[in-house]
Amino acid sequence: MNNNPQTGPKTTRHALIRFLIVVAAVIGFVFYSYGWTVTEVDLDKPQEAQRQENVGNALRELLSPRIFTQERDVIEITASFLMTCGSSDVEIPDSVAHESGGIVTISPTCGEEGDVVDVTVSNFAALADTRIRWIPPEGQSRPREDLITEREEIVLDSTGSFSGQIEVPRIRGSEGQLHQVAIRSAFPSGPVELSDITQLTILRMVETIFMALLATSIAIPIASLISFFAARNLMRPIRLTVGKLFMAVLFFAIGAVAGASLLSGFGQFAARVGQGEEYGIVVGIIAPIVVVVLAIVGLRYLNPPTDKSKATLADTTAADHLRGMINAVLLTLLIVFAVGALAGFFVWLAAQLQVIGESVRPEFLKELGITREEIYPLNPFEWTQNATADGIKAIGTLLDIIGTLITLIMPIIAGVVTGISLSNVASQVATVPLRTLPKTLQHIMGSILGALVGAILFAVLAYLGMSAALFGLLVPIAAAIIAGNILSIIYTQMVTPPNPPPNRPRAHVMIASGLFWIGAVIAFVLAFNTLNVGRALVDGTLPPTTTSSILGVELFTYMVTSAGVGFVLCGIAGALVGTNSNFALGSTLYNLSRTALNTIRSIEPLIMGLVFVVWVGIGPFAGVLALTLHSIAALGKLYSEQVENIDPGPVEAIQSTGAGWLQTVVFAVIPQIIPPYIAFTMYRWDINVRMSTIIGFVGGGGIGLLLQQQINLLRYRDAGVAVLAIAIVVSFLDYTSAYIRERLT
Amino acid sequence: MLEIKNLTKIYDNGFKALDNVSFTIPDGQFVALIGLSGSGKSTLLRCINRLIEPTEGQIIWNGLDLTAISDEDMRLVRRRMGMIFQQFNLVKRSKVITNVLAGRLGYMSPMYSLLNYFPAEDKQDALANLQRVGIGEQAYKRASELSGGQQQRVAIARALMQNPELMLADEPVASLDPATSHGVMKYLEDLNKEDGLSIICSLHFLSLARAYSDRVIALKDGKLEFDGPPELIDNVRFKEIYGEDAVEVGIN
Repeated sequence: MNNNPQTGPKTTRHALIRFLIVVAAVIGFVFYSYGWTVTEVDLDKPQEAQRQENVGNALRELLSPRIFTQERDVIEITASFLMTCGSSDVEIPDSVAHESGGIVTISPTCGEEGDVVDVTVSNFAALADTRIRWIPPEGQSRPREDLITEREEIVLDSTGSFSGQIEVPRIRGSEGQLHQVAIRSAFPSGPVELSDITQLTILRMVETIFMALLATSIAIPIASLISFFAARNLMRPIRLTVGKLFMAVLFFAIGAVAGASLLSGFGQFAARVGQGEEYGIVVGIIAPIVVVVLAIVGLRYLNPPTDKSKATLADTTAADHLRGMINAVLLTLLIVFAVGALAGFFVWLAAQLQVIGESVRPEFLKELGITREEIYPLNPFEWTQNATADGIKAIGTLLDIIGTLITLIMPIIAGVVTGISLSNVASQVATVPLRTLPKTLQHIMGSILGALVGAILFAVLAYLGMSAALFGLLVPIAAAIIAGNILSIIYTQMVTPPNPPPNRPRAHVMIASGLFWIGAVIAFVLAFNTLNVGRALVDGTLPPTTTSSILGVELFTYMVTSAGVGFVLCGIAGALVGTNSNFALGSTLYNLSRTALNTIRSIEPLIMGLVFVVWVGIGPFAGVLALTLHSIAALGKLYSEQVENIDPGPVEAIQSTGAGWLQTVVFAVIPQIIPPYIAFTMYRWDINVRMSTIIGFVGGGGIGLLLQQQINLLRYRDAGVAVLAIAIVVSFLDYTSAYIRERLT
Repeated sequence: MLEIKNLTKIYDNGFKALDNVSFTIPDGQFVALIGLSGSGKSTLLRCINRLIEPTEGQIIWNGLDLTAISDEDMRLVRRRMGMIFQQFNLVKRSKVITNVLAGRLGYMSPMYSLLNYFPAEDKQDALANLQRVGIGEQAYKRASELSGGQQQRVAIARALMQNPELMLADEPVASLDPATSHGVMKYLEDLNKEDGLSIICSLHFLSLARAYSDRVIALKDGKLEFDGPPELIDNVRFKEIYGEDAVEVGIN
């Protein structure tokens, strides 16, 4: 009889759970065990005598780095040995004396293969490194090891003496002939100096530290900018209406194309002005300053610092619009001109600095044409002159690189600046008309604008897709996301669930997400087939580059087809949501930047290094590029986590004063993140030094290249120097950065 | 005049912080907001300036429905609503004067604030407001170097820079000792009496509400539990608001 009716089923359930746990544990253990097979763990190999000896030798050499060298005097004394006693009547002396005073005695002086011969050495230099070799009458000499110590090297005692035993080697057909026992002793003479490999290691280490410094410094501004987009707390509140978003994207695209084609010429012209090629260098220096001052005065006049008269609501007037447009034009032209002129000026200045730098260099060095790498004895004054010359020229080179880079990317700068200006003006002008649009027109406008934006977006994605097979998936994925959303929006609009999102019945949520996946899969398959992405994936071929003419413009058919897909899908989506619904722009940007950061971060710098070596050749530049790209992603993530960790109180307080997003970031966020940013930058530099020591293995320059060469040549003592240098520098940086981080956080 | 109509806030996790709250505050009133922790006081204050988006209901301020306007318009409305907080919410690494000047950001063109530029008259105003709350000589110290009471006064000066009509105070004295608490409350009273600001101030101590407010609004589990002059809160009402086991403690 069961007193408690619940006990029965409860016990069964518990037993079942326990059984399942045991089964899971067994499966887990089997799974884990398989790992030991897969990774070929084998206890026999490390026990093989040959391997043990090899690793012992390698380790011993690695741990005996050739840091110093010292000139050596070498003495070789040979004593004769007759193979098979009595086979020849040559007189063989017991001991041989050398002019340096060293005496070598062997006993016996004749014998058979395998006999043991006593070797005594005396009156040599104390502690000299000595080896015994056996030199047969013909053929290669070979080292003989001392039977007592079982070592080839023999270190003489403090009186310069040694005695040991060797075995007579088995050498066929040498009976009746004289063999030689050679004692070769090298003893140091002259001062102890840094070895060649140490000097090379120092040079490469400097290179390595600079690689890390450069990669970190280039990554800092880019990563800081991205980190704001990858911070959830900053991005989540950013919303804007679909209409404004569409206007902004549309006009950004128009502005970008117009700016890149029309204004980049203007930018190049500004660069020539700055370089003094147009009107001489005097104008080159003055013109940018005048233009910037004039523009600042103009902007200041157009935009008073405070606007107290402004009504409570943002009722923009025609005058506001006009002001906004003049602002945009002025700012666009100003930025493009100023950037271009500055770039040109840098190039000019760089050329001057090269000349000035060279003129400072000591005369005799100029005549010799000596470079930095070569070591030449200089007195302190000459050394200072030479270093000044190198310094000035280095600044010149940096300015030249910056100036040339800006000139090269001028179309991009012009396009982006114009695009931003135009989209700002357009979305500002459109704000009020879009808001006051009647309901039906909102959806019609949404459809038109959405279709246009969709066509542009998908054309851009298709352009990317034409570059590599994997990127071909971008269009189907985008189509899937939009189509999925269309279906779930239709459902939500038709059914109108009773509660706002958090309390919506589970069934509604499940149906909506089910419809999302159905729509997504259908659109993915359709887009995939329409664009023939499968063929590219299987064959590795890219889409055909046939063109078709749209409104007199030649475009790739592939892009046109893809634009058509975007046109239809985004048109439908725009029509459904209308221009007045909100779009979570911030969350979208957050997800995009997080995905990009995570993807780039997951690619090891060594792999990036391989690609960059193909692009810019073997050397530290490839390493810098690889480390920079990886640092941007890694720092971007670390920085953004710091932004997410800030005290939200000040942000709330600044927002409550009526400050805008940008103002909130500048006044409430940035003051809080400066210490952790510095700390993480130090940390990253530390990591970059560590990484740049190995990036040389794939041709990225720095000490890794040296290390790899020495290892390949089996020069473990030289490799040991590089390894030691890495250990010293890395641990030094490790402690320094830890100390600084501790002080800051 | 501030009119709250049927205000409800349900958080994403389903918690109902405000449940159909309605009341009207005429200009120039000092309202104390009381209730247990978690009763919805902070949510109510943040719904008024829409730091938190209300789920349902209306907030009508000077004839404008704040729940219906765009984010950009709301930003402009917030300029006239000062807010101070329990944790003061100063940017601790910035100077006191910078913290105070931040109160002007809503009136500034964003381009200028990127360059950290403020007009000379704003700087004078900032110093004058710091004088007013009695810490003029601390203007160029870091905010973190100030004591709690001083920090809250900086926060009041910051709010004053907005030239507000309404002051929202979220437990302004809950992190301060009794003597300092009265100091801060006196400044708020002063703003109410001399400048005619409306003040909505959430408080833990009923004694403070009795000493400074014209009117008490009590919340319990997100619902309006009491609305009337502080004198009407007797022992029975007190137990209704704070629960049967509560005992009133004073702060003098």
